[in-house]
Order: sequence, then structure tokens, then C-alpha cells
Amino acid sequence: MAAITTRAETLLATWEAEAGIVGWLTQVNHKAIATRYFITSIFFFFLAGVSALIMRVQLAQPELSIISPEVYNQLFSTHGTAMMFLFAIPMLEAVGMYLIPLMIGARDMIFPRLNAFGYWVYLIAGLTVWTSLFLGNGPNAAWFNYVPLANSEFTPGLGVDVWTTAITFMEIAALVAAVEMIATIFKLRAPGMSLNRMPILVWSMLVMSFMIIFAMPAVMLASVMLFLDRSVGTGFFDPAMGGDPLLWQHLFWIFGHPEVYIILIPGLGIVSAIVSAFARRGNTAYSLLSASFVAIGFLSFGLWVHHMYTAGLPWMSLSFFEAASMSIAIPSGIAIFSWIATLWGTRPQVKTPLLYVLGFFFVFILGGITGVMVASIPFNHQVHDTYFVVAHFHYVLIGSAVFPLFAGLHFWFPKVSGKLLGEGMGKVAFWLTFIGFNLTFFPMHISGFLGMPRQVYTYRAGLGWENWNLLSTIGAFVMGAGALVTLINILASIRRGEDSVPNPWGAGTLEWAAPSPPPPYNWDELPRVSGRYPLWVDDEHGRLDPDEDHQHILEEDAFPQHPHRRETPGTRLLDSRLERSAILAGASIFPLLAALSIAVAAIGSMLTLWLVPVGVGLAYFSIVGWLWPREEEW
Amino acid sequence: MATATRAGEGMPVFVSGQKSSMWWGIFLLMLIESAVFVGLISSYFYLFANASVWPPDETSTPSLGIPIIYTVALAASGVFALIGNRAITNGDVATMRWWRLAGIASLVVFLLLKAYEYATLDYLWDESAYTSILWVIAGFHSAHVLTVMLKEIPIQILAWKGFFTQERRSAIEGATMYWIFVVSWWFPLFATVYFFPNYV
Repeated sequence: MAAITTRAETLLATWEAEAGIVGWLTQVNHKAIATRYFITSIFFFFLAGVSALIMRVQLAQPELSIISPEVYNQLFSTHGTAMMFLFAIPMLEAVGMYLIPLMIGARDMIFPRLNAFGYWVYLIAGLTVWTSLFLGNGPNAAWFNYVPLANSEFTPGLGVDVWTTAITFMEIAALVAAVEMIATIFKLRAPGMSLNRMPILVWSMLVMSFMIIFAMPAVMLASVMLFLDRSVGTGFFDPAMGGDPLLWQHLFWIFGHPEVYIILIPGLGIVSAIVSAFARRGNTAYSLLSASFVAIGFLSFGLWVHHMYTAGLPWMSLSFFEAASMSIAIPSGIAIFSWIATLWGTRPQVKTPLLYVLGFFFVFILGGITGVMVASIPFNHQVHDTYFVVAHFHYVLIGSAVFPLFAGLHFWFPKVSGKLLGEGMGKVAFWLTFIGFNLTFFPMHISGFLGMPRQVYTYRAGLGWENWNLLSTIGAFVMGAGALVTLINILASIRRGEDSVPNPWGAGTLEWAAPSPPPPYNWDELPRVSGRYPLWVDDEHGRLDPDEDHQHILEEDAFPQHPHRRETPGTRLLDSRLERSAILAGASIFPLLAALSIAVAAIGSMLTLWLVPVGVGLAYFSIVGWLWPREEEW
Repeated sequence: MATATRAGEGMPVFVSGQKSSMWWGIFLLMLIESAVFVGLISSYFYLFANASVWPPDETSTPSLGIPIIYTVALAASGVFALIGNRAITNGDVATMRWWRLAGIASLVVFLLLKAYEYATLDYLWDESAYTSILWVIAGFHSAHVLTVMLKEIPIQILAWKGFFTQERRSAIEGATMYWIFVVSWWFPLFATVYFFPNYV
């Protein structure tokens, strides 16, 4: 025993962050950074939620004037932008950032400083967006910023500039996290964890990351073009100069549609992990399930035009995109049948995580059905830009991201904090959220059918929309109460929750073998795996390991270590055979400095373009400092 | 106690190619930037398809003289970079440094000629959608060339201080990959901006 303590102490000395403010600013550990992402994105989630509540109050009755049309425009634009860019993507990436090294048996991610850099970029971009809203200059041309509305003639002021610069800047964070996840998943898996033994969640994170890499550049390019149109008079989207507003729509939706699936796929991964843990058996049709994620990833790049059915494109291309949009139902169907088959005949204990998963099934399938409806061109022409679309995409997005994330929150909270979340409060919060959600958004289908257009700050009396809108408003507050109870549950459990064992759910994947919460270096002894569910003795059929300490997967001498260097096993892409010792970067202030420098360029460009070269120059020196070889490398 | 052996003994630490973290970082960066280049070229042709005359009436077709010269300089810089990379693979730091310096010089030629070309154009970006996309493509690609050049400065300093060895060369390998990437993307861009309006 003494030997193991010594080993743990050595590891801790190597991997622990410095104490104090310096240690906080230079922190690079994947769990610490991911936790910051969690807290920040939950904060932005609540701000965006409050924006929605204010809008719902304004719409509760016809012709109210609680807020002005200008404020309403800023609120719904910021609400959409924040929920997508400042909540959903960062939160899901943070789930990957926290869990991937634990699920694949690594000590950290492959570029630890890049994680820190991404977080600072995200924080600065998010604060910029919200500050601009509080100063009355928030984005105000909807989250998709269609030109000509969004050009400088029709929307003067800083709002759209905040959007274009903050989004371009923000996407840097999304992209570096994607790079980080792909390289980590490919090259740092535990010996024995060949590609076909990765947890399903890791597959979903891999697909999401590739989608981010191919989708985000389109929106960055589009927002830079829009920024230039607005600031220096280029003519990309100006018909008088030979430009075309439709170019904006194409570039935006080439990003915007995959974006929806970027949010969906990790949600499917979370659901798969929870279903398998509660069924106590492996995911049925593992290969088909992971292949369906890959298929959704590919298909999602071929159907952006279904957002543009009413834009007057040729029928031939519309028909192609209609067929592609409907085909997405096939891989989604495979995933749903896989979960049903996994749960079939088992007697799962319906605890809060599973409850949210069951809620997800209901909401997501309803959203999927309206999805097939709006994919059909004639139907789409009827409901385009009405509340029916608002209902549809809230069912899809809240269904695919928020329900799985709440499920994941309850599922992995013990791993992150070492405490169990309160079951009673969890269930109350679930029912409030679930009932509130349906009460808010189901009536919107009907107000949409009745012709209510989206993105309007008020409506006339006598159109038959009053009661449906009132229902939506009541529902929104019920849902808000659910979120509040969840937040209270989190805070209460951190303070005086029940301590958790390493594997409270009896799940089969590797992260449950690490202590709860895991030490900075994750593993005293590094794992070596020989199956998809290494914690279960009878692998595929999920009988629980009789000796709960999982010693059979942890090998003390599998990987010789330098005592004072941050090392983790580097393995081959396909079969995960040991090929090297990967040295990981340690704490550094430069990621923060690089993020600040690029912020000077990106945010500063709104004030004067001269700040762009200044910021880029500063960024150059920060990056050189960041990459400069550490002393022990000489 | 588990004796903590030096990692170098059991497992290689200095690796190259797909084994190294650097390779994957640069490779994925290349994918991201390729998506941007594809977006730029697609936008160019989208605007072309919308126009009745291309380039628009008041704008002259781009001339080929200077661009051909700097394209040769850029291609040469890529070759020099590769020769330098070959030298460090054999552990020859001095040869590596000289070839990379020659590469930097070629990049300077590229950038100066490019700056001259755009400074003497009779239109700016705010003339038409055509001039907008032209300037943005030139600016975006030239920024990459500048980045390649700036990346070489710390490499030269580190080489001069004796950091690089045959084993410890993954930084040079990564910089070379990126260099060749930036050179390679110029050819489709050249075909789009210069060849296409002149000959198609």
C-alpha cells in the first residue's frame, strides 16, 4: 500500500496545478477547464432562458408593450445566438473534454494548453455578446442575420457587428476543441481500446468534431464577408454591386444545418451511454449505432437548402434536398431502435438520468415527425416562418441537446463532484421541465397553423392566437421552475450531498473505474482494456464485475513513467497498440495571453480596423511563447 | 514501489509523422483552412454564375505577368522548405537552416510582388462583388504566406541555439507540412483568379 501512495504522490506533484491566482490563470487540466465550461455555459443558459421568459411575458396577451420592438429584436436574436453558440456547443464540447480522457484511459487531452485557450476565447466572446445586450446594442437581426436586413443600410449600429465578430471569434474555441478531441481520440486511447471498442459516446464526440471542422469555417467566412460589407464597403451580398443575398443564405445554412446535428449527435451519444448503463448490457448493434452517427454526419452536409425552400431556387435542386432531408430519418431510426432493443426485456431502475432519457425519446420523436413534415416542400411553404417552425426546432433542439444534457448532468455529476444529486428534487425538476416544455412548445404548432409569424414582438387581438400564446407563456415559467429546481439541486448536493462510490450506476465504461472525483492525473495505474465494457466481467451481456475495485484493468507496469514529466501512452489509430510516450504540455499563461490578443483583433475591429494588426501581432508573440520548448525538453 | 523508469528507455518520446501530436494538430488545422479555401472558391464561382459579364465591364481582366513570377517564387520556396526538411531528417542542422532561409527569401519575393500588384491595381475591394472576392482571396492567402514566414523565425532562432537534432525535429516537420499546404492551395486559387477569367 505504501508503494501506491508514493506513486500517487509523485503523480500528484507532477500533475497538480499551482495554488493561488497564478495557478488558476495558468490551469490546463482537462477536467478543470471542462468544469469552467460547464459553469460558464450554464450561466449563459440561464441568461438566454431569462431572455425567453421576458419575450413570453410580452407575448402572453395581444398588443402588450412590456418591452419595445427594438428590445424584443435584440432579445430573440441574442436568445438564439446564445443558446446555439454559447450554450449548446460549448456545453457538449465540455462534456467531451471532461469525459473523453477518462473514457479512453488517458491522463489528459493531447493539447492541454489548447483547451485553456479555447475556454478563454469562449469566455471573452460570450461576455461580449451579453455585455452588448445589456448596453442596448445586442445582435438584432435574428440568429441567422439574413441580408439585406443585416446590412449597414437596414440595420445600422453595433448589433450585427457584435454578432459577426463575436461569432467568428467564438468559433475559434469550437474549432480548437474539435481538433483536440479528434487527435486525442485517435492517438491517446488506452492500449487495447481499438476503434471498435470505443464507448459510443466517444464515437459521437468524434463525429461531432469532424462536423465542426467542416461546418464552422463556412459561418466564419460568411460573417467575415458580412463584416466587410458593413465596414469597408465590399459587395458580397449587395445586388447593386453584383453580389447576392442568397450567397449569405447558402453559406450560413451550409454551416447552420450541420450545426443542428452537431448538437444532436453528442446528445445521442449521452443517451446511448445512459441506456446501456441502466439496462446493464451493451448497446444493441454497436456497429450500426456508431455507423448511424457517421451517416447522420455525412447526410447533414447535404440538406442545408431545406431552410431555403421559399427562396426561389430551381425545383430540381429543391427535390434533391427534399429527398436528402427525408433520408436522415433512416439513421435516426436505427439509433432509436437500438436503444429500444437495448432496454427491451430489462428491468431498469428509473432514476433521474433514465427519466430524462425517456423524456428525450418522447420529445425527440415528436420533433422528428414534424421534421419529416417540414422537409416536404408543399407543407414547408405553408408553415415557413411561422410558429410551427419555432415549435419544430425547439422540439428538436431541446429534445436532442437539453434533455440529454440534463440526463448526462444527473448521470455524471457523481463522477465530477464526488456527490450524488438528490433523486427527489431531480424527479420534481424533470416533471416540471417535461410538462413545462410541452406546454410551451406544443401550442406553438397550433399558433403556427393559425398563421402566427415568428419573430414578431406582438400580435393583434381576435386572430385566435391569444389562448395558445398564454399557454406557451405559462409553460415557459413551469419549465423555468424546472431549471431552477435543478440548479438548487446541484448547489445543495455539492454542499451536503451523499458521497458517491466510483461507479454508482454499475456502468461498464472506463470512466467509472477512476475515483470520484478523479485526481488531476486521472489514474494511479493506467488501464489496459480488452472489450467494449471493461468494467463488466461478462463483457457484452453486462454482468457486473464481482470485485468492484477493477484491478484487472489497471496495470501498474504497463507504461513506464518519468516521475516528473506529464506523460500518457500514445497508441496507434486503429488497433491502439502502444507506440510512444506522449509528453503533454503543462501549465502556461500564454493561452490566456493569446486569447486576449486575438480578442483585441476580433472585438477591437468593431471600433477601428487598426486594432486587427495590433492584436494579431500580440497573438504572434503569445503563440511563440506558448510553443517555446520547455526547459526539460532541451 | 513501481520504479519510474525514464520514458525514453521503454517507449519512444521523439517521434515523427502520424505518431507525433504535432502532425495531427497541423493536419486538422489544414482541414479547417481547406474548408475556408473551398468556401472562397465556391463564393467566387457563385458570384460569377450570377454575373452577365465577368469581370464586370469597368474592371480589367487580371494580367498574368507578375502573378506567374511570384507563383514560381512561391513554388520554389516550397521546394527549399522540403530540402531543408530532408536535411534535418538526416541530422544536418546547418544545411537545414540555409535552405529554410532561402525559402524565407522566396516568400519575401512573393509577398513584395503581390503587394506591388495590388497596390497598382486601378480598383479597390469596394468596386463590385468581383473586386471584393478578388481582394479577400488575395488577402487571405497572403496572410497565410506571412504566417509561414513568421513561423520560420523561431525555428531559425532555435536551430541557431542548437535545439534541433535528427530526433527532435517534429516542429520543423509540422512547419514544413503547413508550408507545403499554403503553397499547394495557391495553385487552385491561381487557376480561379487568373486563369479562369482569362481563358475560360
